Amino acid sequence: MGVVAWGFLIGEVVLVIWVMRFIGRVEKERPTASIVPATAADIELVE
Amino acid sequence: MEKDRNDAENVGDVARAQVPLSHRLGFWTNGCVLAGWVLVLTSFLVGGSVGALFPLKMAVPIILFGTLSNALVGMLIAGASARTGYSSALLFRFAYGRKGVIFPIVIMGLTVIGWFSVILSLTRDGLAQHLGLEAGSVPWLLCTIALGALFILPAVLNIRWIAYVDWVAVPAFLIVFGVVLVMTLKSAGGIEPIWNKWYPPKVSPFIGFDMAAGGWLVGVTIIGDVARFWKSGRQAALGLMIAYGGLVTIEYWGGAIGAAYTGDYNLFNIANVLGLGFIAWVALYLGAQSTIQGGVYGAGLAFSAPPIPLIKNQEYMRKLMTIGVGIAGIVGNFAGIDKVFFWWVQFLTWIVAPIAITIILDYWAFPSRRLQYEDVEGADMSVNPAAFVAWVAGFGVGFYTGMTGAFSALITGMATAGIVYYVWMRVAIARGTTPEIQVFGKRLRAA
Repeated sequence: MGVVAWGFLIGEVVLVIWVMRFIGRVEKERPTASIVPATAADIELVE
Repeated sequence: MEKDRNDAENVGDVARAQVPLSHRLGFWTNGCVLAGWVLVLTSFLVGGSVGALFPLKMAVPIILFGTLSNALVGMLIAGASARTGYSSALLFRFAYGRKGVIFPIVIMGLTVIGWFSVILSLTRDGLAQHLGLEAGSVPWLLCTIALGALFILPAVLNIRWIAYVDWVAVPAFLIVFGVVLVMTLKSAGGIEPIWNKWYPPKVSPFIGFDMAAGGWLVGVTIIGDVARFWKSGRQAALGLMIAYGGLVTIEYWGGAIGAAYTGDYNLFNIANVLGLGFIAWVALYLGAQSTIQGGVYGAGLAFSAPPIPLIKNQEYMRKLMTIGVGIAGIVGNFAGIDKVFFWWVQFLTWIVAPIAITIILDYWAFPSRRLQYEDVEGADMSVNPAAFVAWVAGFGVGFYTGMTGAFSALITGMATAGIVYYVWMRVAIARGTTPEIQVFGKRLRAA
């Protein structure tokens, strides 16, 4: 496998790790539980 | 009080609202639904196709690059869906607009109907072969309808029934896959002879990458329909990473190994050659069932979302639309749309890639817009010209690159659409306006 191909693959793995960390950071700042309704009684229909 | 109870009873799988925390599923149940979603014969066909074009030494990294790309797209879309609790159709409203969302809904919905017909054909033909049924005979027709009905049933019931089927289908499919893989390797004298088998690649590695990544691009773009049941964005992203970075990679590699050994790209044929016969059909059926039930479920959700008018209540409408999509798939199968569908599939990567990147950027690249999703303010445009212009540019560049074979059509199409969308939205947000107002001078909804 050529150097360029390795570069592509390693770059993509780094990107996957960065995305995981990024989603984790957003989740930490504003957890899902604080965004969505708690029960069915709390939901609002999208119009 | 009575009204509240009635409303709650009609919530079901929440087709037109955010999935509340009380309706979310556990990690392993969601994981099983995702595993069922990705385990299917067509994945082996893609892996096999790449393996037939490239020697295994090249096919393995090309496939990994493609499946990791799917994982990236899936993680970001699933993360947004899990955080907001919105289905794909509700999520796409923000980027494409309240009326503009019809465009991705129709594209994804029709694609699922096409896949339904193709997978129904593959499964039915395999069974008909084993039972010796003549095409067009009454038992053949009844087999088609019965298999189609089985595909639809769990999706009509609810997401939990999809999970119940997957708890059985996933381990059974994996066992048969493992047996096929071990038998193939044993018959080939181990991995080494296959690994060292060299033949000149027939096309550019970028085309191989587009095949590997494009195979699941629609699947990861509509992943929000099942991913919104995860309890957090982080869990959903992890689940998607395991499903696409892990399971799909193994499936593709398995298909490529089979192809490298036998020269055939179809796992079903490979299994028949190995003498697995009816067991191979059972695995084929379980893989088909676990995937297409999710597809029908997603398409049913898409056609239940606004701006399509609400019929009775959200759960009634979801069930009605799911049955409608399934019936369209069965009728389409009899009409032979599975044959036309392969013509459509070759354009699919170029069509869907710009949609995926637009959705991802709209939610993750602009914190102010992310707040709009999360604070239930609703989509602020009726039609977003930025999304449509980005799509046209992405499709055009992807199509051109794909035709010339100079580079990956998926990467160029996505990059072009992404740059156009990001720049336009950034300018609009900086000026405190929207692309809709910039182009039309007002919010179209108010007209």
